[in-house]
Amino acid sequence: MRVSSVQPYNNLLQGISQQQDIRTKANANIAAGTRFQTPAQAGLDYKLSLDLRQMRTVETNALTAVGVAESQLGVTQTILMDMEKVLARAQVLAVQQSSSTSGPNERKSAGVEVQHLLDQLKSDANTKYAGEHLFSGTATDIAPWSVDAAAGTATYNGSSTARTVRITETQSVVSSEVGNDQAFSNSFQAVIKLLKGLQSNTVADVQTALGDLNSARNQVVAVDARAGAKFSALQSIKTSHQDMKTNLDKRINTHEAVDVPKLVSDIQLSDIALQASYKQISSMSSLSLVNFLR
Amino acid sequence: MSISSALGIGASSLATQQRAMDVLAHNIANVNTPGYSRQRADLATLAPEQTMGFSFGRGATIATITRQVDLSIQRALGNSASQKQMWTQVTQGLSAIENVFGSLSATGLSASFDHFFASWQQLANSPADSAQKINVGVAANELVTTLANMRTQLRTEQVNIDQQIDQKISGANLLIKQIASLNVQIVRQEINGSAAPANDLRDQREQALQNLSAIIPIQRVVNPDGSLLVQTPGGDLLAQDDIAHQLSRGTSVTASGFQEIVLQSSPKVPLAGISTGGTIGGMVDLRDNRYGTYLSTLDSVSKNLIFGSNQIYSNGSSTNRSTTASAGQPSLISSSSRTSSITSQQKVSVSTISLANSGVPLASQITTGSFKLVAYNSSGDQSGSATINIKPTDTLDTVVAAVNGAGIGATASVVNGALELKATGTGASLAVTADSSKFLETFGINSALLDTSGVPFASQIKAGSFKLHLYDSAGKPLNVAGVSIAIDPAVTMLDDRAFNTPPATTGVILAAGKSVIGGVDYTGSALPSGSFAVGDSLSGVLVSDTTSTGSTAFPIGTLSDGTNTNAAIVTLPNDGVTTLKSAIAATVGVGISGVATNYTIASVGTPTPTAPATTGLVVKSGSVTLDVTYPPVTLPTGSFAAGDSVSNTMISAKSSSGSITFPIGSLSDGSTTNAVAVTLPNDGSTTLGAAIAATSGVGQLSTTLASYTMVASGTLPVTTGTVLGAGQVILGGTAYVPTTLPSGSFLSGDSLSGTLISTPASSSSITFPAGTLSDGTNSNAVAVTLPNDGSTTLQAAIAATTGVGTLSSVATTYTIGATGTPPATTGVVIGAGSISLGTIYPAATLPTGSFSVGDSLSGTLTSATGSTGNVVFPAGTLSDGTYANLVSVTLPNDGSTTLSAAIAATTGVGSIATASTTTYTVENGGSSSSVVGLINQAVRAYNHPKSPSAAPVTLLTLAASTTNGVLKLDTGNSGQTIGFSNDTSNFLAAYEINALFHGSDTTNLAVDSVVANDSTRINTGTIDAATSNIYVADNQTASAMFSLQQTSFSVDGTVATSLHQRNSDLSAKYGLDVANAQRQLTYRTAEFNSLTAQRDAVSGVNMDEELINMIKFQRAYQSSAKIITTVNTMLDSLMGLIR
Repeated sequence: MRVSSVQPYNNLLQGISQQQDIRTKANANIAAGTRFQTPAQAGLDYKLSLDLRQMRTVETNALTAVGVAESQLGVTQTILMDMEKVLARAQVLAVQQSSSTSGPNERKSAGVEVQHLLDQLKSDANTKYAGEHLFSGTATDIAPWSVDAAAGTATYNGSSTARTVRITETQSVVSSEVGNDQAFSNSFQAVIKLLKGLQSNTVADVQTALGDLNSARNQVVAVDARAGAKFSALQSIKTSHQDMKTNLDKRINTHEAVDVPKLVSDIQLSDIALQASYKQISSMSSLSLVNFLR
Repeated sequence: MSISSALGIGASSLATQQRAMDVLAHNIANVNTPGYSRQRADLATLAPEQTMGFSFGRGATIATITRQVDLSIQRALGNSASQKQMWTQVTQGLSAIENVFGSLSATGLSASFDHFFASWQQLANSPADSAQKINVGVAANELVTTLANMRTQLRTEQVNIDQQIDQKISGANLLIKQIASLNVQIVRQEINGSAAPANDLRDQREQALQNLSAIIPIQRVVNPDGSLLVQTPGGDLLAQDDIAHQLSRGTSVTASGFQEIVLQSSPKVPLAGISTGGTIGGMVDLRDNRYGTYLSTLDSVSKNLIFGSNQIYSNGSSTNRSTTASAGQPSLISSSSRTSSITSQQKVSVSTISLANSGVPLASQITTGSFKLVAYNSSGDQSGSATINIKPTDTLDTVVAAVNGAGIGATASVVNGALELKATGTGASLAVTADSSKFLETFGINSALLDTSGVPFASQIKAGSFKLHLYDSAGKPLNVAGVSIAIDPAVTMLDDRAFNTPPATTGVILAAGKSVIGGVDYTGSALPSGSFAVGDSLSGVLVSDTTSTGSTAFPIGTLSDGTNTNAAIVTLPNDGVTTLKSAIAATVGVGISGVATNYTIASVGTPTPTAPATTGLVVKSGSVTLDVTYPPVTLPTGSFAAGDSVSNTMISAKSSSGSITFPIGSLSDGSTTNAVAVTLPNDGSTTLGAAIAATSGVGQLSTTLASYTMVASGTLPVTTGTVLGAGQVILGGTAYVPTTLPSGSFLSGDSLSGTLISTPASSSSITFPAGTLSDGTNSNAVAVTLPNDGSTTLQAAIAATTGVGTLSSVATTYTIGATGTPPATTGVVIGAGSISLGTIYPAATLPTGSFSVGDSLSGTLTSATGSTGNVVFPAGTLSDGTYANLVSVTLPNDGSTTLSAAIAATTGVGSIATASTTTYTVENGGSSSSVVGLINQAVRAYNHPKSPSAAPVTLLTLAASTTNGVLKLDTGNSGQTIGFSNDTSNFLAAYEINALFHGSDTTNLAVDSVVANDSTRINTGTIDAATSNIYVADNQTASAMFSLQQTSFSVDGTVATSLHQRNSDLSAKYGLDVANAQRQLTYRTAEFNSLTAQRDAVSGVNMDEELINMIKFQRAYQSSAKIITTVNTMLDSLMGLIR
């Protein structure tokens, strides 16, 4: 084919431009550490990255949410264990004071301690965590229990709806125990009964309270166990999301990470091509009939 | 053959080789010239010479110089250049918006969505944490800002690219002109010397064509004469011979709203196929397709975000609620509903009455503005449109004339008081829209149902209901079960003010009591200052009270009994006894019925009868402000004219510019005139009658006549600067009277000037009880009396009052204070009968139509047996001022049952008063076909249950209303707050009530201002529909908002998918567009390069080739020169022989 004089130069110029483009892109990819950075560079890959990263964000947030539920349930268990200890101590006192060996003065002294136990029980039931009442359901701004020992009443003021923590769009866990459980009311009633029995030096009441305390303590233990079961279930959920997040991290890395050896190889090939082009341009300038005409 | 022949041959060779060298040099010179085609000198032998039977050659010459081109390659190269440039432009344009879609290191909208939904998750998990609410507010604003920024960037690029099109059009126009010009030059050259083709000109034209192809796609047709026809792919002619058709921007616009590209010459229709190639094609593709698609996709994201979020959010609540709730979107008059005729729901009794005074409910809301009337032909195409201007002072007849005068295929008329608009022609239709005057709304014209109301998401509204919950100021639920509002988009409107439910009045005859409809009832009260107007009606039993300022004279022709008018003056004395009909009966030669029920003011006689004095308290000087200021009347500049009348009691105020002098013969009492000039001093006290009486030599002119008429027998006095303190002046039919205060009492806040004077025409002095006058600092310690002596100012009265205390007696203005009982201002009192200056119907047949909101009905009202049927008042349409009827009340037409008795006899009517003295106001009962009506009905039903024992302790103060189509719920100042729940109809979300986002798409997307300003108002939980309870840690709404992240849905007809997917799909779409553009560009570039190589192979200059040819020609030239040298030697030899 006939070739015009400018054509070889034009072809070489195009080749040089292409090689320089290859080098620029390869350098940018190496610097960013990813195969692509923008949707313009790889539309579908970029979309997949957005999807994968969004899923990873969901998993990260899910683990944060699990942490919130864990701490709420953890504190719940701690308080319930404390309540159990209060009831256990009340039981001991009830056993001691139901004995005929105890006199009015001993019972009166024991009554003072039981009053403290009742206060402690109330304090436990109205415990605040992060500024919110732990056992008032969704009415966290309201102290769940008001106790009037003189009147023998303990009233629940909170909501009956348990608090929940949203883990994912489809996964939600109950993160609290609601104070309207009979374990709470029975505990209060049993301690109040013991207190009254001691204050009035009525052995029969103290003995009755002993039975109630035993029952209430079991119920508190049951609530504590329930909270523990929820906590355990959370560990399973947590593991699941941790695994998912690890997999997503791996997938994202595989999907986005740059193939450095290949890029280095491309740059080297480009270097060779550029050197060849430059050499060719140089030699072409001397390869002309003009140089041979005298 | 001679020896010289060889010389000739050599010479021809020299010349030929030299010309060939010229061509070669031209080639070398243009080796780098774009578009240059190498040329070749075609050598040929000269014609041979026949000698001695032999044919001897005569040498060489250049037959022609040919241009080396392949036309098919040239044409293909043009097309390829066009495609290459288009894809270059598209690639560059897409690259320019790369930052809009973010990058992996900053994902933009994707990150904003993640932040937004993560904030909701965090709030769901710490619902009582105010910091989390702030975070939601921040995330919502960030999301809105990101979307808005993306839109702004895309829109800016879209506009920029459109502006660049203009520059390219200029470039194309220059090329088109150049091609036309070259056409001429080529034809001229090739016709004049057909053997000499215009090689270089053709190259120039080809290069211009290539350049033009790079801007717009073209087709070319070569003519035999060498000229070229250039047109667009759609066949629009751009250049032919010497004609160049220029491109420009047209008036029509593309779907994306930009001006089309047209030819400057007619017809200026959009060029077809312009977007298939070239830079402009790429720009148009970018502008309308790429950017346009991204923008519409972005808007789709916003639409789904707005409605999807609001659908969840509007069902939620915070524990910190508002006392008001407003819709974020106004309900509009629908422009989509066309019909062959439109009839207003509201009617007027007289179509010549101004719209503002037409008696239509809310007529006062009509403002100066306009509405648009659009006519369509039977094919549904718009056949015409007109803007109908509306002013409150217009009448329905004015509107009719405006429509009929528009000439757009629509006619208007008033039929039974209703405005009727009709499309002319079979199958034609009409629509009304863009009402800025509120005329359409007020008259109930084409009011829209919810699903055609113009609200952006109206189509999402479906049959269902929502609940309203009210709380007291402490947050305690009031209506624990809430009130349920049922919505049916097929029958429910937002507002039903144009569709009142009061009963029809047609044919109902009222036998007793009174009914004031659309007007003002003046029974027992003073008439306002001024004159009766034509059309006013007066009952036959009308009596003028003794406290009236004087008797009332009805001039001849001003009283009509419906058939005749009074032939003699009728005087109604203010004796408190004489009725109008008895006064008529007692008037000799009166000529009208003396037993008629009603008389109408007519204009058969004196056009404007002199008004009976209705003045009560008359302000002589200073001013009084009763919401509006009533200053003394200043006469207009000019002179009194013949026929003007002035009252006997007229006083010129001190603030007048000077006294008024009535020249001789200018005042007439009907029989005589003043014999000398009469001067009325501006002393604020002398009446005209007194001035006449005090004028010596005035003649027989009456000093007691009620009024005097100006006659032109003398020079009439000048009125400029004259201020009238009392009495009346009629100039050219317009009465200028001192101000009579309206009946009633002064109100707290009214202000009175210190120079205020009460005239003797007032019914009595005014006593201001202790504490009712304030100078801004102090108030009167004891009562202050302002005598109606026409001279004592308020300041003087205060100064003269002993023990008035620290109240200033020199203050400019005094304000009526809040303590004490303000004094009555009532002057003239009507003692019996009734007068309507609007319309009053005592014992009369009511006009056809309906009762209107605001009409009042006395408790003693009965319906006559002659009525056409019972009158049924639907629930909520009768009000005693506090309570309304809970169930419908029927007033039988038995002629005896009074309205209050009928109410009392109605079971379950509620707490409405049933005393016979009660006056009931007609109210809008609240149509069940409107949201406003439904809400107000529900509130009324809660507040006034059928069983009194079920009456709530605390009444709900919630009231629903609309302003400019915007629904507003307001609990007033009660401190009650509003909550919403259980909206199954999507009404709340569609109207953006209790909403998080407002707007229709990205263009106007915004976070609710209440939420933006106070994050504690962010809805986190959901109200329990059964108990109205909601607790601070309820996270149902926050949780549902978080779940929206992955929910697939669509509100705009797009494929249902999640918001995240919509965004990532948009990024993918952009990325694929870029990849496609780059592939196309690569392919087109390769094609272009290949074709360029092919062209160069044919047309390009090869230096080596040219240099070899140069040697070839040089050698030939040298040889030819040798021949000449040799022949010369031969000739020398020959010449030597001769010597």
